[in-house]
Amino acid sequence: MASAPARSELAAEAAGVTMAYNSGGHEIVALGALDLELRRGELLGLVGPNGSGKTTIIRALTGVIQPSAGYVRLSGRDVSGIGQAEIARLAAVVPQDPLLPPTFESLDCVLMGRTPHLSLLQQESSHDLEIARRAMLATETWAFADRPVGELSGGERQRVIVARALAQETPVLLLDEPTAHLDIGHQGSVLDLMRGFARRDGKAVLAVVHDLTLAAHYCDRLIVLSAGRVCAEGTPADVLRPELLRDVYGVPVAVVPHPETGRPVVAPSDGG
Amino acid sequence: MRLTRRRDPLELTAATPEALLAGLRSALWPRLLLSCLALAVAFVAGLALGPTTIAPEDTVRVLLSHLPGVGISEDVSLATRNIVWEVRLPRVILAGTVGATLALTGAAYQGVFRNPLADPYLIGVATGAALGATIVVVSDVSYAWGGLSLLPLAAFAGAMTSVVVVYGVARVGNTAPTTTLILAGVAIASLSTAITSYLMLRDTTNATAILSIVLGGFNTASWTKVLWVLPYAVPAAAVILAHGRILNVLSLDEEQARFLGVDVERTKLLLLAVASLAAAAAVSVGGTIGFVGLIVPHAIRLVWGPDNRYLLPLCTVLGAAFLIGADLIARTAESPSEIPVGIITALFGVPFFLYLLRRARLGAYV
Repeated sequence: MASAPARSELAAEAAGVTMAYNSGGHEIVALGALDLELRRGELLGLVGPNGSGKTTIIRALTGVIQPSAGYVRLSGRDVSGIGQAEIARLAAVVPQDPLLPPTFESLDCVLMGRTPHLSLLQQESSHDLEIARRAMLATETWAFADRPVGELSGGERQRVIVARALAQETPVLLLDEPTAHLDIGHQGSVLDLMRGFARRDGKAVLAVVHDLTLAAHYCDRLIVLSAGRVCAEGTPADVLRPELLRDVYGVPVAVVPHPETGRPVVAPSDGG
Repeated sequence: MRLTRRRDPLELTAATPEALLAGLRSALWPRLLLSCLALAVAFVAGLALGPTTIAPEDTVRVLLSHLPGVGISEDVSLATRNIVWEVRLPRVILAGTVGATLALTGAAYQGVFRNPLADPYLIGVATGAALGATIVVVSDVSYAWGGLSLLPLAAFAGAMTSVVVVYGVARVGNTAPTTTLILAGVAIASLSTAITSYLMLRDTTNATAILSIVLGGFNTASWTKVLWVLPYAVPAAAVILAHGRILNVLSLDEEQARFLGVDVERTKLLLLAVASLAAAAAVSVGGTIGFVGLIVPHAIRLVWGPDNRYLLPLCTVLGAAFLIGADLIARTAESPSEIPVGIITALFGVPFFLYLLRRARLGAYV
């Protein structure tokens, strides 16, 4: 969809991003001096226990919350210095479990992705409609474009939201647990789609994924977060080591190579 | 759950983007035309009916005679001309303007608060505006100058105070849940009504003027009042109508709206300010008339769906038709005496409100 993307070009970066707030007299650090780089053409997986700051990173990357220290850049531009619409032209978000008005049709929802490209009095043109149609074809949602989203299944709704993010035509895609509540078939197809956007369309894709085996299978690179800090970063095989995972998640796990791909498979373990 | 279809099914397989776009847009014009027809009927009925019944063709003839180059035929008497042009026309136009304003601002409040039961009357805006206007009336300052009036501005101050207090009390995070919003609105409305009543009892010389603000009605309608309300209502309506697409995006949650590039805080502030200004101007000429901002948008949503790009223009037209009709009932049902129009709208509105409250309790956003 993007025109001749320059692969491995830096699309999003966070440097020294700190997010701290006061709660009942003591300071809580949601993110501690976090550094992150996201390049075009890669699918970066963000893993870590609940409450480790994964969602906070997505909100910081899109300027929805301001860091108390450090900076965030999208395509080289500091997000604190540009407006919300400009940010939405640089990075699109697929939120976790988003609310959708049930009577709106899928196509209406996807066309909302064109919002940052339209001025107040502008209506969607046939150009916008064509972009929405292509986004829906890519996510296999076009067949129910005129169905109200309230009638769709969880997996279908999820893909409609992905189509909306695609319709924003941004170099960066940020996904907050896109595979939550999905069965293994839908989980695989969503992540497969994301890998396609990265490899084929040259987008920079960051996905928060809970399932470590899925993350290892689909992502080019993983970042492990714990208590708002990066504990490890690198290829799945480098990062998903039993000692590290035991420290981060607090339970013993076994890591074995996948019989076909050789990528790590993470399984529960009784220790020993 | 009942899901409303907005239009005929799209032809997804064969269509070009242009054909699809035409399909998307096709629904507005027939509906707007139908609504305008309803407004035209209400308009002519409002001019023709009353203590003296005037034939519809004569009313149309009187109206046309005021267009440049059109003469009036001799068989329309001077009395008929005066009844149509000087008595009933300003009243019908005022009722139409107030109805359009209340319905449109109701839809805007519902969108901004993301609460289906927000309405200028229920969230205390109308009663706050009435208090503001009452304070001007009792303070004996000269409130009309140069064709404009201080009343709408004083009403605006009262309305904004109410909206800030009610939303401040009711908000949980970034939304205002139905129960807290309505409870805070009722509390603020009771307080402003109590103060207004006190001022009215203390100041007997202006009691009639205050009573007409409190009860609501158009029996004192005049061209002057039409000119008081239009400078506020028209620009405010233009701003609200321009935000149809953005209000759709706001009907997602606020974080999604931000992710989609909407400056949420600025948009909410702008829409609340202009909606309150328009509602206050409407109250300053028509008094507190309840439920118009609830009935009209919801009736449209039930039939034609929640898309604000359709809802807002249709609210404007059908809100005008609705209040012209209600005012017609108010002045003809017990002729020659009048029933305050607020009683008529409450008769329609309260059962509808209870029905919506039941739905909201069940978790359905209409």
